[in-house]
Amino acid sequence: MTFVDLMRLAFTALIRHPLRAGLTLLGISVGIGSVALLTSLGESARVYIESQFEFIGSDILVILPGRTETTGAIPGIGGAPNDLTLDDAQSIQRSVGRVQLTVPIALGTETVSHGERARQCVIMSTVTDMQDLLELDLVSGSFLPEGDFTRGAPVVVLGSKIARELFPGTNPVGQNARIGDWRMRVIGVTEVRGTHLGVDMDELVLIPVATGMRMFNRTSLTRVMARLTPGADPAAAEVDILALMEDRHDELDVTVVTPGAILGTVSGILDALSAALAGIAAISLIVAGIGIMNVMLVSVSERTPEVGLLLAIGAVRRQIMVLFLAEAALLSLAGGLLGLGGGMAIIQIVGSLYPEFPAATPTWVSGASLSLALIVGIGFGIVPARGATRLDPVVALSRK
Amino acid sequence: MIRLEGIGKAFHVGEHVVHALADIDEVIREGEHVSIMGPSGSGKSTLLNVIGCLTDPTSGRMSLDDRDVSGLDSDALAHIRQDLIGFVFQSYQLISRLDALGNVELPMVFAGIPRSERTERASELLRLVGLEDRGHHRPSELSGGQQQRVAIARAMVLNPRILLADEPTGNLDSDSGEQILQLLDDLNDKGLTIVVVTHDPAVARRSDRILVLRDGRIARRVSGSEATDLASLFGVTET
Repeated sequence: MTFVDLMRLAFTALIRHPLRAGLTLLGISVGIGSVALLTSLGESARVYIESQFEFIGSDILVILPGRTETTGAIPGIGGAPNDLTLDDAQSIQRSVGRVQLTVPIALGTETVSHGERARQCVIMSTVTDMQDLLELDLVSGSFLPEGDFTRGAPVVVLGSKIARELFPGTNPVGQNARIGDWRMRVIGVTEVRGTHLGVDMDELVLIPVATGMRMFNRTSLTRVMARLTPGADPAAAEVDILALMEDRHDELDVTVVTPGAILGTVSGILDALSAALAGIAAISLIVAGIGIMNVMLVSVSERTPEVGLLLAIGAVRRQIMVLFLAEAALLSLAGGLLGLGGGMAIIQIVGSLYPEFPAATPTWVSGASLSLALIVGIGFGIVPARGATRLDPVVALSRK
Repeated sequence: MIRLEGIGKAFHVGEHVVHALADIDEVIREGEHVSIMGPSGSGKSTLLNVIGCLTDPTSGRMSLDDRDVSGLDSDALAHIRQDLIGFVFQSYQLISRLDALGNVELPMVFAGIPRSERTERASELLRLVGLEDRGHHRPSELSGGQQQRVAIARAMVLNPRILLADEPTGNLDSDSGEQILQLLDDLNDKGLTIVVVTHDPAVARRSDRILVLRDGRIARRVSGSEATDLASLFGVTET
């Protein structure tokens, strides 16, 4: 029996009961569609998050004040026994050979105003090198001035959105803005950049780090970002930085994280989430599989005389089994294609509704969905097909 | 051609054992046309099923075309059926979703014969049974006699050595029945061995020999011409 013969016999058997076949097909398509949709969304979320991390670069380390062991809290949140100071940042840059440059950051929130217009903003106090680190381009003016970390000038660089809101229709460069009680001169405006890691870069307000430390009356930095020298091993750099900080603070009270490590953790969580979602979708597939089994059992029962005839004309039991399995496989594959098409259509709609979200159905999801459909069809078709092969030809032929 | 030695077939019905066949010894020669008659429950169809390798005897030995088929597994028996035997059933057993050509082709599909050869052979067989213009008709579009002729074409398509027919005219009117019997006679004339189970003396009369079964045993062996005399035994009249 050739493959074409097999498919022809299976197809003609299925279309004899179009409603029954259609409903079973619908069941399997819902199951496969759910699996394809949820897996695609999970995969798209991973691509999205990875793209968010990409701009930081894999050669960046982040040093946070405090450790879980010393503060009892997540690093960077809550108090730390010792401050992470500007001196620490400069010392890391000077003493650790694997570090090319360090960028200190102190974050705070304050009201930024110009004339009658005012709004609450995140103020990032940092240094010149931050422009290079974040790859920020300016539409006008210049970035924070180079010079000693400790000398803070009353200047500010505005994100494009803040500039637009506070200085509508005019170029803010050279004009003054107030940050809290401080009068600052706007020296630059950044280009539209969008959101990264949940921070809208266009709403950033950047001021010199020394100015920020005084403005917020802080002694500790929020974090220090360190760029490694080309080819440097991040793990070795981490050891060097920790050793230096332990030496300077007489205890180990900082935490060093790499974007790669964070990404790895987030990816792990996403993997678990995707697996859980796919698992939930798989339940509907099991239900669909039971539907296939039911249809095939009815089919075998109705076609018992046909099985008897096939045995009488010389079909071997394996051929009977393959014949019924082909029907189950055809049904599930058709349902799989329908479900996959539906899932892909929904993904397209999500993509058009949220353009910044890279919604797409990866090729492997399509392949895996169709394979899964086949596995479910054949898996749940085995019991009815085996039932057909065990029929006694004489009894089968005498059945009405 | 067909050699039966001490064939017995017993069924378990609850706690009881029913002997459908017992001590059947018979030789049917190549090219013979044999009818099996007997009252209902005498074991006629069971004997036909044993000869057709559709059911295993519980005792005895059987050989077909000098091949001992006793104790063969189901796949080997399937190949014996494919090589040697064609079946014709009272209720035709055509597959309703396939047209006449498709039904005739079916044994060749499972025998792995290429499609082009199958179509040519099936058309040839339909021509033989006088249905060359009905190849694309479904069974529901054919009369009973035409359906049985399609079934005979299907039975003949793999060139069997033996044709087994269980009440082949049982569902047909007398004209259609006569056409079927004539077809069987023609095939027998060409050397085909035919074994027919029937209640109808008119059918049995066309055979060379009649085996009369009673309670699972061969009670009498008579010539075809004596069929009419047997009618009263089974309470049937000649059609």
